[in-house]
Amino acid sequence: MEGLIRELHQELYSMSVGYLYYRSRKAVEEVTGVLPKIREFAEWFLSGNQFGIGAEDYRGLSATLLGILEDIADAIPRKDRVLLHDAAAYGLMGFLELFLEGEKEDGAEGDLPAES
Amino acid sequence: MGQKETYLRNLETLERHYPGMRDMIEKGRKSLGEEVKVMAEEAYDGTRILRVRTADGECYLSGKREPRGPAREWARTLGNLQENAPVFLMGVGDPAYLEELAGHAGRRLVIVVYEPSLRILLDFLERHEIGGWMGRHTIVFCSGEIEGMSWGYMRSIIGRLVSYGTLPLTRFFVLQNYDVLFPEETLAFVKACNETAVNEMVQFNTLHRFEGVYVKNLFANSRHLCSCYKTTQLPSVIPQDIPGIVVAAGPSLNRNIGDLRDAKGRALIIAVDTAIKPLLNAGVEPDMYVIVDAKKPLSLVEDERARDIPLVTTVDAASEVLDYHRGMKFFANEGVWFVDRLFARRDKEAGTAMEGGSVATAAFTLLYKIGIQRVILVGQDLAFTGNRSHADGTFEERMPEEDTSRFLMVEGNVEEKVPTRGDFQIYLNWYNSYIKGCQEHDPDFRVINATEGGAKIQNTEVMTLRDAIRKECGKTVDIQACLGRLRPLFEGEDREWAIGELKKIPDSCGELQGEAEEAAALYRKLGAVCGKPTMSRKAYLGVLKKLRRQVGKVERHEMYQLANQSLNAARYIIQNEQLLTYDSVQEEGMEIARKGALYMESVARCAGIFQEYARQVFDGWEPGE
Repeated sequence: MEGLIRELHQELYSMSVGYLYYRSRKAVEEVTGVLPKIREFAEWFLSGNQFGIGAEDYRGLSATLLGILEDIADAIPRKDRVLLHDAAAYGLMGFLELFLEGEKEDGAEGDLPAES
Repeated sequence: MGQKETYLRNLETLERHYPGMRDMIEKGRKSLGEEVKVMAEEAYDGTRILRVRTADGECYLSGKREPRGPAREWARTLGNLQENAPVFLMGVGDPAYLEELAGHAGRRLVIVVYEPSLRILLDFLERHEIGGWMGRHTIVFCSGEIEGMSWGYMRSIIGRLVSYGTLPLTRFFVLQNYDVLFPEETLAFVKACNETAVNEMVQFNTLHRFEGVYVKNLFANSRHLCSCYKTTQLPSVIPQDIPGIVVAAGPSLNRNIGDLRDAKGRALIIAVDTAIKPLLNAGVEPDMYVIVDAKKPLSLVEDERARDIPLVTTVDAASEVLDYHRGMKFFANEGVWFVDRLFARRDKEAGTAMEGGSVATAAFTLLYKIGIQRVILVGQDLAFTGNRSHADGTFEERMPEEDTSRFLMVEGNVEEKVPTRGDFQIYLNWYNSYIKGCQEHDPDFRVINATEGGAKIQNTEVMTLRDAIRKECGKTVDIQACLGRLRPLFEGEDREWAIGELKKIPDSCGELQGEAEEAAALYRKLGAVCGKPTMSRKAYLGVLKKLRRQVGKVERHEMYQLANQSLNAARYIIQNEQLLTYDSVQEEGMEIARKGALYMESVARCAGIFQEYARQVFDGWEPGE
């Protein structure tokens, strides 16, 4: 899962750079292109609390992720790039960083939650 | 402060800056339709954000999680904007963009906000106090839904603010999602900005291309003015109930050039210079032909049969062609000061310049201005029909095929799509808008595109040339007999006066040289005053006053216009840097002095060269009858 998270984060980052700095209007196509990865990540996360965190925290994080997914699903058919970029760059990317930050701080892969 | 108070205070601010704007906005507010629905929501941090529904879609204009994030990043990418830099912003539905721009820019900017929806603009004005920003910057608010702020108005603002010199400092930005919610308005905005920028670049590059030959042509061709005719004389002798035919030299002319024989004596046939040889070789003698190109090679028209065909031209066209030509020469006003002054003695009618930028568009506007109601276009491909640029027999006997695989494709007249290039597309856009304007002004004006190939021109009727001649060319006419009724513009005393004025040109150039040298000396003096450790305010203001008077004298001089055109690149550098700011008046004064002296020295040098050339042209010149 670590590889997928890293790839997905990188792809969303590229999309966001295009949106913010190059005025790209391709966010819908770009996020649509990574939807299978988003789905795989979401299924993995929502399949159960496997991360050693409290049930309350897990429920909160799950609700956050569902909110992000809902916005992405809402934005794509309406070609709403503002909502889509917001959900992907300021929502999902931050969420993915929860799983990458530990590695950044400690340089230890073991900080990533173990795959189920 | 409540919404109503904020709104009223903003209206007062706008009224103070733009008298009449309060009523315009209020009038628009009272007749607001239901086409745009604005729904306010709260972002996660409590910021008010908008979700907007139009006939074209429904979208957010700010994000829920980081409503200010994109605007902040955008402002960062703008870098250090120069003082008075024009910034065009389409959309105020995410107010963070204008806030970032107007609130945080360190320098005074000229901000033009175009908001297609008045409802969104009102929502903004009800919640954001603009008084502070309007004090720090020049801000113009426009909305297509306010009466009097049509696209013509918007275009005029863009045209006034964007020049070749300010182009590198100008910023254009369309807020994300406006293209989804307001696709037509967004396209129109982008097109208006793009066209202005392209026109500025084309104008600069054209001047740059021709600046080396401009004055040479102008002086040499001026000799023809004393026996010339003016295009404004044509409506008095050309019947307006016959069709006019513009014969351009596009590749499709190969397909129907022979058909033109049937139009002779049944229409006013005007050819472009490049089409003259193929036409004569096909047995078609046009009634007139046009040349405007300052570098047109003589070889393109060098044919004994072409020498006496009446010529419509400009005073800066290739002088070799005008010298070679023997027949009637028709000129139009082109804004050359000394030429227009000569014309004004006999003809007060101005605004008769040919337009559009190409020789064919010049011929087209001439026909329209003569008052002809039906114009037939032939060989006006504006595209590479059959992958060729021109008709056979123009630049080469058989024009070669070119690789057009990477060319821009546009809708075709006959084929579905045809390849074209940038300059052709500019002319195509010009035709599209010019014909529309002509037809708005005169609904009976018709354009028949009998170019059997090429790009599709809007608002034209497409038919074969054979059909067009059969349907439209029913009446016979002897154009040469019509033109024979005209008298030259200058005769008798007027002619003597015009010759006398032209012979004064060398002295006039010398006069400009003296005035420019005097201005350069004053600039150097200004530099010396500013360069002193303690600058004397009195001395500074004194030199400035003298400079203003002297520069005014230079700039009003008839020959200055020619020097200014010939110093295109130098003018660009000065225009480009005029918005730069300096740390002190002293520093700024020294920079003004340095550039001013350099420029005036260049003007003086130019005038000296002009004088030398003018002497060669006019000393000992004895015009024949």
